[in-house]
Amino acid sequence: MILLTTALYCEAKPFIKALGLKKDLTMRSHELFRSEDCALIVSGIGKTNAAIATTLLLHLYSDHEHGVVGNIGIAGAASHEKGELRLIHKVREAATGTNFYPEQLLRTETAESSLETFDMPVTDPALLDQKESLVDMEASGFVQAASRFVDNSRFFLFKCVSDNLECGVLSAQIIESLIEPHTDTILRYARSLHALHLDSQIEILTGQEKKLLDKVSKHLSLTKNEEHLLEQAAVGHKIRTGDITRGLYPALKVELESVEHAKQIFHETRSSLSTP
Amino acid sequence: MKHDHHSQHRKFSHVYVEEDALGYPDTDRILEKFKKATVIPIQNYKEILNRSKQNWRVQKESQKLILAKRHDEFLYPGSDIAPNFSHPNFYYNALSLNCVYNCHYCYLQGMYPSAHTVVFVNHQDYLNATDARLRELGSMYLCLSYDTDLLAFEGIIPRASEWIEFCSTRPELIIEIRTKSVNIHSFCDKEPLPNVVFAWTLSPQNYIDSYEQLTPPLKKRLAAMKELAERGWKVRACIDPVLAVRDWREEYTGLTQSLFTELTPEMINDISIGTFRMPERYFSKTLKIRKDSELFHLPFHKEHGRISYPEKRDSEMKESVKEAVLEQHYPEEKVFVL
Ligand code: SF4
Repeated sequence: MILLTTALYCEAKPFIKALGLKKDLTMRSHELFRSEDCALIVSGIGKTNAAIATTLLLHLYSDHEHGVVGNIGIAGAASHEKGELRLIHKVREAATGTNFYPEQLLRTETAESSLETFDMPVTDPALLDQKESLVDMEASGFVQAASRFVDNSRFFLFKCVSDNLECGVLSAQIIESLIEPHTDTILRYARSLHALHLDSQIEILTGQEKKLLDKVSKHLSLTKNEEHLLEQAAVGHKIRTGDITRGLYPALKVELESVEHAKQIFHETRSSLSTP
Repeated sequence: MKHDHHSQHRKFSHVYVEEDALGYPDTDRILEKFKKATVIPIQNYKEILNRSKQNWRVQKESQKLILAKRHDEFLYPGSDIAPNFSHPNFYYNALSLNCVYNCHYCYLQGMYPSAHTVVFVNHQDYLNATDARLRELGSMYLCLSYDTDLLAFEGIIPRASEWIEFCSTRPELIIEIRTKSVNIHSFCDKEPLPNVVFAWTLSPQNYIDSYEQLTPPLKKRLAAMKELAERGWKVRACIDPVLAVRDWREEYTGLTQSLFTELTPEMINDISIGTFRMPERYFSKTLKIRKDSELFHLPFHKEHGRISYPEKRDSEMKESVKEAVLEQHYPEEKVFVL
């Protein structure tokens, strides 16, 4: 699952188009767009809004263990060319001086940069901690919320330079035109990161083996804790011997006479699976 | 839309540099070595090392370097899990944290939440602290940088060489450099010192293949040991951790045979034998990272906050390896069973 957050609808538009996302009309608090394997939420401006929207999005997709989540938008910069895209490797929250470091795992052609999140638009470069930093109003909220839910190798931030800290408001059209040329680059990165996490998944038991375990658990009316213990024993057995079926089938064949009998079979099965 | 995937960053593609580490010659030396790396200023190395929710395994595939200044704890008294070789003043230090190798059984996975490597650049402070303690105690046995493989890092920062230099004028200080690396070229032409012990961790090649990823093969470790021993350096063989996996008896007998085929008993200063053990608090964390490794799905015994093999199996293994060593006519008084 690829999850995206933007502050404004015009920042989201190129992604909605590229991914064929459909608006979720049941969502009242936010503009949320979905497809089968992607979702995008528009947070509104500011770090609190970013944190709320990120939390909502990650809560909605909390069962997608290997999903990745990105924050995309425009940012000011004292020393960069307008239109440049940057992958963010450090986020500093100006109000608190707290730093956050999203993990950098993938090689990309996009240059990296640090970014500072302010509560108000910034026009004075002297306010920056590092003069080459980008400036926005959402990133620290996004990072703080994201890092509550997912490990820090599963979120990323891309920012496109929109101004050189001049005063003034950009039209939605201009913002969209700044982001649009980078859509493909950002989505490729998101897909690669997602693929990396899928690849790094450690699945020891196959789907069929899990079903068999489930059958045995039901047959023996195991408690959640007993189920867990049996699964642990099965995982160890699978790693050592490559097979769990022979260890589990006998339990299924037993005609149970009582609760005590079921417990006895559970202990015997677990112990035979645990013996190297 | 293109679907070709980005490849992962190479090792040390990024170097995080603490503000306090700036200005140290070691910082400049290391950054010079990683000219292409992205340098990211940080306030404190713990901002990276101790972040919550880190993914150890994906980090290990794309390890980063952190340059930091150590403010205290330049020496630690030896723990009961590490061997002290009967020396009363047994200490170790932490010149670096985390390792470039990737051993399944490494306790560092449970110790630090991150796989990234820290190098402390204020090395002189370690030397000064050691001198001060030496003055107090009169003598000391010091294991260099337990929480890494220092020699594997020698090409990046030559700490082992610097300590050997330090030892050359301090005969009352004995240092042990514990390693799986074969990075020995810088010591080959140096005058051997009686107070420096190079200690090689040895495992059967089949286990190296399965559980000690990225480490040099057994043959090369033995060749490196031999080379230094022939040049007069003290070398120790550490058959530790002995692992209770398939065919362990035959595997460790084979290992001792390989050891004594390559080196004569006289070349080996001493031999230490230890079975797998780990503090319980690190074990549970390591298990999460290594849940697909056979090493963590064996019968274990828990006692006094420490995980090891069940007593009977444990002593059987130690005995068996010791016997295999003694069969090679190695003097018993030079075998330390931990
Ligand atoms: S060589 Fe030592 S420190 Fe390095 S990973 Fe292996 S066990 Fe850990």
